[in-house]
Amino acid sequence: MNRIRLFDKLNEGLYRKLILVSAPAGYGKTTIVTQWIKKYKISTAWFSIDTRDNVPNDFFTFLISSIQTVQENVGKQSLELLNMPETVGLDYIIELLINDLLEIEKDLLLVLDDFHLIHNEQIFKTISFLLEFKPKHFHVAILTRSDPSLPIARFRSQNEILEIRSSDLSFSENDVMELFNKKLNLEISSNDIKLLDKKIEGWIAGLQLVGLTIQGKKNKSEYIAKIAGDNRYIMDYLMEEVLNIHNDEMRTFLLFTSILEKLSGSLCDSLLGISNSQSMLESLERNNMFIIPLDNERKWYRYHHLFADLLKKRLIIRYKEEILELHKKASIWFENNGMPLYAIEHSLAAKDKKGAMHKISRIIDHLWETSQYASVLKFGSLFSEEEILSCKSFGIIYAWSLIVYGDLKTGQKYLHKLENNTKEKKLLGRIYETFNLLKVFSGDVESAFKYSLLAIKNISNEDVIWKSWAYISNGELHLLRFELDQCMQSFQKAREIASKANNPNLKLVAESKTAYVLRLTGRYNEAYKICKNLLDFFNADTSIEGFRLDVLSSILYSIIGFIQIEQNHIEEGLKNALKGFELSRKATSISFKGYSTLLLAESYYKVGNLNQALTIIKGLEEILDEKVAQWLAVLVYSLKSKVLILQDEMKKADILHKQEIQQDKNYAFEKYFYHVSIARFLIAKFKSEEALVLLNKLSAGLKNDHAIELLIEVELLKAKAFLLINFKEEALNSVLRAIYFAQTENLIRVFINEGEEIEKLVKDISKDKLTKSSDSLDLISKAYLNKLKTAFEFEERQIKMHFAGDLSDREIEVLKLISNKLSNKEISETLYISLSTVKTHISHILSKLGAKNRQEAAEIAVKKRLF
Amino acid sequence: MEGKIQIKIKGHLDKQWEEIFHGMSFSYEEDITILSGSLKDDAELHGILNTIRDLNLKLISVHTEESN
Repeated sequence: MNRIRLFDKLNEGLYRKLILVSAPAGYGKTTIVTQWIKKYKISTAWFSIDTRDNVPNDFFTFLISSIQTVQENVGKQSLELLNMPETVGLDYIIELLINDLLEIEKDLLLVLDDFHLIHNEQIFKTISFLLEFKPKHFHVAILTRSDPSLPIARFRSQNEILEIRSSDLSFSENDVMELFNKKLNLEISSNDIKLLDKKIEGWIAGLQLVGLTIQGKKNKSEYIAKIAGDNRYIMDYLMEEVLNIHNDEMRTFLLFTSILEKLSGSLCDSLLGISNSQSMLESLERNNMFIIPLDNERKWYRYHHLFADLLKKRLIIRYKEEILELHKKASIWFENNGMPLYAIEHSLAAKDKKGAMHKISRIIDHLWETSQYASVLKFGSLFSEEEILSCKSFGIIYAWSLIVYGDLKTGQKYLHKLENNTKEKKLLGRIYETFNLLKVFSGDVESAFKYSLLAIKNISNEDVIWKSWAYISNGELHLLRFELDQCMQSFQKAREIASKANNPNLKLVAESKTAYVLRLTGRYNEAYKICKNLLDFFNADTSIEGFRLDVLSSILYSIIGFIQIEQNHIEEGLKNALKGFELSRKATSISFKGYSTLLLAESYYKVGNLNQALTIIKGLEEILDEKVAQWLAVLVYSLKSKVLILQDEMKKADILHKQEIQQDKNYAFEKYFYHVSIARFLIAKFKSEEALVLLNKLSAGLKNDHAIELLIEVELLKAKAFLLINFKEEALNSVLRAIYFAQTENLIRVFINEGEEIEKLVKDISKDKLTKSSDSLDLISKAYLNKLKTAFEFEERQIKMHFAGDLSDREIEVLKLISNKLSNKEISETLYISLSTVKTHISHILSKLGAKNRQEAAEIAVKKRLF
Repeated sequence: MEGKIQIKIKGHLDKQWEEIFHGMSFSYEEDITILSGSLKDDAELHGILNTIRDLNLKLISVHTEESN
């Protein structure tokens, strides 16, 4: 019969990308799919969607959790990443999931039930992506009341979709006969069956209700005639009958509990003031009363949606005054049972906005700490301005979220009102810190600075996370003003306070910022130590899961790599910089990703691979939002200009400077880097006198600010400018000063990057050092000078060999297979390594060889005779 | 889209459903129910159509008139 045909169809669906069961409520979508799964013993992950699941991160968290009920090892990493909102890109997470699913060997079916409740674009897009790259043994069935926004037409044309629609599901006369006469044994005449089928048109829910209500009727034929002759909405008619067959107790139970999206015995007990709810739920289930258990222990149930809608409507008609009270009771139960989000919803439904706000305010700090701004904005939209302002702790986070999402105007309005009505120091401090965020986002450094001081003053040390953020923002502003000593003090303070909180993210921000300032002030060894210590600390902390560790440690590897390269440990350094970059790609936060990317570009520049540096910069420019990371934008510009000039791309450099000159230079940080670039540009154009005026001013200022890293570069530029006008003695003196500042920290590459002219001067100095003595010569260590000289000589030899030599043995193996035109999958099978490892190897090979794609890598391999 | 709306569905839907249909008023013609009312925007229209879908009511026609 019908069912068997549907089972065959569903089986066929296992060879397509998607099984779509699309029909209105009450057509037995869930039933047929469950029966099919049971009959063919298909291992199934069942995800019952509700309206709350329209937040992509939540949706995919539930999706993966349901997969894990059958395949516990699938999606572990993805799930960890989903638990860190805003640090990791969703696409990346789904790629990881697909990788896991590629490795399963038995069929696994994912059912997305009630998919019509989804309206979030991002979820549609991501599901389409998942279907597009669906692994062979992974199958997806979507159950929905209306067709979803997926590429269904295309799937149809490619025969990649199996559809079951209402015409497939509706009961034929034969099916009705079988149900009533064989299964329910009602002995109904074929004429009556015909009559019923005509009226109900094969709609299963309707037929089932008839089946339930007809059982006690003496004259069944008369009852059917009445149904058929009535032109009321059929469900209204049948529901009346259903409620009539139950006693008062059960009737009230059904009506009152219809306000619940999910029901448990204890919850229903507290709603109705009774104690036998569990047995009532079980008896409803036994009697096929449209109730569905949500777990095997029969702890949670839900009504069939259509049935619940019809009950709810009757509840409104009969017990309107009781509804608010019911929601209030539900809210209390959910709150006492640790489900705050349900509690908030029922408070809102109970029109108890005050209570709802009170409950929100209890979880608001958690929402802020975990960056759940979208949820905060959703809550905010449910309240009036006055209500939001009445709960200050919520109001502040609401303003914060508005600002992060770009609505500065509304955010500002709330902040001003909050500020005027707040006396409490703790809250006032948080308000100032939020003002600081607002001013940073609108580019007003001076006001931002003012607010950050107020925030520090008002937030108490016990408010650990807010307090250290306040110091971090303060330090960032000092950095923009190029007040490096104060900047250092603020970051140190932030580190101190952050060490009291068990918050690795905060720790990382505070420490890595400190490391950056150390670098600027030329203290590379200290910066290295901080990063190395924190890396060891994270690695030893077993509470940080594998993937979180990767994202957290990315910046640390990048900084360590960069420092190693500067100190001329190129191989090791490049390995770490690349590792940091790879790991940072899992992050979505621009400061994570952007900084690691910049460091990789700087590392490539340092080792002399200018093309690769430019490619990385280009990628970075695409993702960079200057408002959020001003200092990063400045550094990107500065590096780009340096590389272009070194490549003798003067036209491009010219354009870059002209663009930059049009923008206001608001703060010292920006001015310094800009002027160093300009000086370099002038030297390249042989305008040495102009350059020297600028450089002299810069070196005085930088020395005063203890900005040793830039000062070394400026001294070397000065040397180049002096050489152009044949002031050899002055040129030597500049290099001497640069050496003096660089020697204790073993900085090498900054000299090598400046090329031949500096090499000659270094050699002259090292000759002088053997024979002469002077104040400045005596300050320089002979050992360091020798190291520098050797490095220059080595570099010369090295330039002739590409750094293809850096390929590891494993990478050489992979490169061989690439040259033999093997696919990633084939490579993974040949070498017994996972697909993602293959991908990592390939991306390393490409970047090390400076190749665009695998074909180019193969060509380089031949040219350089790497095998 | 702001304006007036008229929706026809098959069968008689009890007047008690008016509240659930965003306060639209019901009238009847033969075995058809006519829901009429004013509309705030498209989202409200989609909400009403979803309710009709969810109750498996047979939709016969939707007529909207934009106001200026």
